[in-house]
Amino acid sequence: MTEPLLTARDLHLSFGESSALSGASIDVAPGEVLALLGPSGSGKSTLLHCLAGILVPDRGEVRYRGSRLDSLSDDLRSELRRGDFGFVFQFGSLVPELTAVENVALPLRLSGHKRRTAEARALEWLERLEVADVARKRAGEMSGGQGQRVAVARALVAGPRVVFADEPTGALDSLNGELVMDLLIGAAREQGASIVLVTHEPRIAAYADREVVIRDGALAATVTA
Amino acid sequence: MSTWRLGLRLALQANRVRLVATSVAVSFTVAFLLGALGALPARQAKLDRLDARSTVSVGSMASKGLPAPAAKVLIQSYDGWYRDKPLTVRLVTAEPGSLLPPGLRRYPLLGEAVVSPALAAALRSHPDELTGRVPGRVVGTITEEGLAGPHELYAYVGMATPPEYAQQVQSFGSRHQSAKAPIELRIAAWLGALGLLLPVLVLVATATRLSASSRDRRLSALRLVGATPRQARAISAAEGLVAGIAGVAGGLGVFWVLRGPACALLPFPEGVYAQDLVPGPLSVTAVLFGVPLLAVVSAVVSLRKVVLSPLGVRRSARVKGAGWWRLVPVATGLGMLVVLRLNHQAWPPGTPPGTTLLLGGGGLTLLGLAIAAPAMSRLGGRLLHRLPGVSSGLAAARIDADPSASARVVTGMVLVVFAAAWLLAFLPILQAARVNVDDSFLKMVPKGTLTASSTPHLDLAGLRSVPGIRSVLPVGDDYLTPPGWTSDDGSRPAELQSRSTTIATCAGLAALIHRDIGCTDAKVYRLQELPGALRAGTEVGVLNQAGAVGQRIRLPQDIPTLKLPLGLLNSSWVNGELLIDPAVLPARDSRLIITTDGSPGALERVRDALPLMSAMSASTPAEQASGAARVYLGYLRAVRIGLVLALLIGSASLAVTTADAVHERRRSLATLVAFGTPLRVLRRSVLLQMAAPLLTNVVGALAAAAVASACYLGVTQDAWTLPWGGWGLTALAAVLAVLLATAATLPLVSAVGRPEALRAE
Repeated sequence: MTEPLLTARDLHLSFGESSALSGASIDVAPGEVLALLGPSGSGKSTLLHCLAGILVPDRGEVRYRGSRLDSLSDDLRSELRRGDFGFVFQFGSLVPELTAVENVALPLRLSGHKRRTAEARALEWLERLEVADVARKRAGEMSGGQGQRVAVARALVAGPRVVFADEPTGALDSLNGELVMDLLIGAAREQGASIVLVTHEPRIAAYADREVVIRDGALAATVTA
Repeated sequence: MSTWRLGLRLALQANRVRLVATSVAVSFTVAFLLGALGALPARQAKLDRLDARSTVSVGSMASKGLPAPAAKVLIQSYDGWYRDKPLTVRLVTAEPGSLLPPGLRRYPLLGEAVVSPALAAALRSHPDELTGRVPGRVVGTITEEGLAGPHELYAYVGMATPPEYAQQVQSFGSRHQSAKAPIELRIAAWLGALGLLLPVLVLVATATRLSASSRDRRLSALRLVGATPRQARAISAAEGLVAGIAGVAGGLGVFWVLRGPACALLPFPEGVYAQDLVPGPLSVTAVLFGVPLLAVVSAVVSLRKVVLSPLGVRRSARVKGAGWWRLVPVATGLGMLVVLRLNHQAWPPGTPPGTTLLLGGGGLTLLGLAIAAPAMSRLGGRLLHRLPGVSSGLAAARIDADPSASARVVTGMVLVVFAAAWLLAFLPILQAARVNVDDSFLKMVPKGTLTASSTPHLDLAGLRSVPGIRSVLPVGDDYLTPPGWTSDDGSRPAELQSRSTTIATCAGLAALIHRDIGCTDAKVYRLQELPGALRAGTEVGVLNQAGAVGQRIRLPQDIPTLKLPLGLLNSSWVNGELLIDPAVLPARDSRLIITTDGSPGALERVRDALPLMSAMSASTPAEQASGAARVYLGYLRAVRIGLVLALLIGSASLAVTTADAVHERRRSLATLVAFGTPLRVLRRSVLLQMAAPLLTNVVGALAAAAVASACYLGVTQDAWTLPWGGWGLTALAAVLAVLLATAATLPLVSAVGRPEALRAE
């Protein structure tokens, strides 16, 4: 079997008195599309955040390509988010003051690319995701679907190994939701990137190679496509 | 890539309305700072201008072996008044090629005058009031280099022969050293100015931290795509820098445009040339670099103890307590001032302990008020909690949840109140130090009464015919010697010193002030009892101008004592030991007390009818006092203007902070409305949330100001009073300003408090 890209073992995380993760363990293979399903408050978003290095578990470990992720410094985890990881959240998380192309170019610019180069690559991605026409518009001037496609472009522009998508279609109608998912899955597969997808919609989960059901902060079931 | 460059681009590309609003706010504060910092250089420029035209006489330079200039110029200056403004006339006799003072292209010849633009305008508008003092045809105007200010009344008048007391001029400009004010006065002034300027700095800091919620969204989005905390902070700092730089650039522009009108606000009667209102290079550099730096520091400090996570921004610090320990610094500061007050004779200001206690105590009190503000706010919240009603309960809960947040909003205003109270308390020292005319004398003298020096052969009948004149009373002075006085001994006992005596009719004096002063048809009255008094029935000598005893007179056997009203004795009218009727003793060096109908025209026509020397000396008691009073009133006006500007700036700062806070709380406000809370209750709670901490803090500031002022005045003055009325008005103005500024933001509560906002969130 291929060596997992991401591994989580026995993750525990509490917010005050409330326990969000209680012994969650999971592997993500390279190129795999993994869906985390579960009811509200089950801990699926928290697990995604731990896998992405956004949150640090109270107990347990997260490994990325064999190295501990949870013990890295904030700066190193930031560096991973710039290069190796990409993110698409329910609300695009775009910088509201920047245009679409500037938003997409942002990870590259933060990594030291020149503005011209970064924006050229960003524009390529916008064209690929069929939103080049909004390249010079700001987040508030785009529709929800356009905003999410811009967010997908931003998640993929740096050539990440893993894309984390937390309810990426949650704020979209079904048509736009499917369009965004088609583009996200297609582009990620093309790049060989893994996707960790949080959703509560079976229709969206159906895009995944494997579906994992989370309940009470731990894995309850796994379904392979 | 450069994170700073990204931050700069973000700031420039981000919400431009916010950037413009922030920059405009910073611009006006920068302009205010530049204006305040330019006031001292403007004063220095005025002193330099005065110095540049001052004369150095040939006589004073003779000892240094300097040869007199080949072409002679002789100048005699007279200082007087015209319509409540100082007027200077320089009589000039000059040979061709002689040295010129600044502002003059050539000297006027006989029958000519060169005048300042303001005087030229006065001559045009009232030709019958000035031609006696400024005789001759106006052949030119004095340029700016030769004037202290644009409103100065100044003239060079050509003469054929040198005036009696004219000095031959060696050169112009004495290169004076400007005298420094006493240390305690400077410390007090700096503390006051600092207090008034603090809100300006608070506004700069506040303005660059606006829209915290949108900033939070931006920063978390940046963190999500991989910006490190350091990068996110640098981006935020760069945004502050842009606002600071734009504000400084705008501020320079605003200052440049408004400095002309701003000159009128400075406390100089002759006005200030706009080009003189320029801060020194050090001040400009400090503002140019300091304001952007402050903006950057403020942006960075605002992110202190803030966790910038990809999922959002949250404050990691616990809400700060508002323990009573916060009162310790202000109590210590006041304690230091009390110690100084108790030991000021051993440690007067100027000595190291005295200066340390004064400066340290004052500074610590000012700083301590800011530190104590959360504790005072919490007190306000607790008092509010006792009031019935939902709105007061909501407001009290908000204050109690974070007293420091409430304190931050009102601290600027509180410091303004303290600084203004402090300045109002110590400003009268300037008046007390410089005004030598008793207030009671000013009140006693009818309006339009002049005192002028008399000259020989004065045509009193002609003078009495001037329209508007009512009476002319000649008054003289003589020096009498008591028995035993001898002129050949320079070391006479005190009781044998010569005694000054006023020569005037008692009835004439009484008529002037329309009061019964106890005249009994006697010819000699006693004005005051002095040691070794001139005794009744004794023969006394009258000193002549050479200091020798000339005429001798015998004093009457009965000398009644006059009960002069307070202020009249030892005034410019009456002084000395005795009042003697001119019929008994002819006066010498007499002066004239002239009453008119009080109209400015009559006063000036009377002056103009007098010979030049008398005309220039003629002044009303109010004018005699006004030189000093102007200084005091000028500073008082400057403090009031500073106070108003500081209140306006503080209100603007408070309004934007409140609006931003309301916007940030929109979700909880919308939730409350969704629960059925009426909007008016929410609006009232916002208002109370501001008013309660303000009131307790203002009361605290006034109490601190009272203690600090009492100690300071007790150290520097023998007699003093605290200006409670002025303080009350200041506090009222501050409270009203805050309530109005808060009220201005209340429509926002209605706008963001709609339940629909919950869905939008």
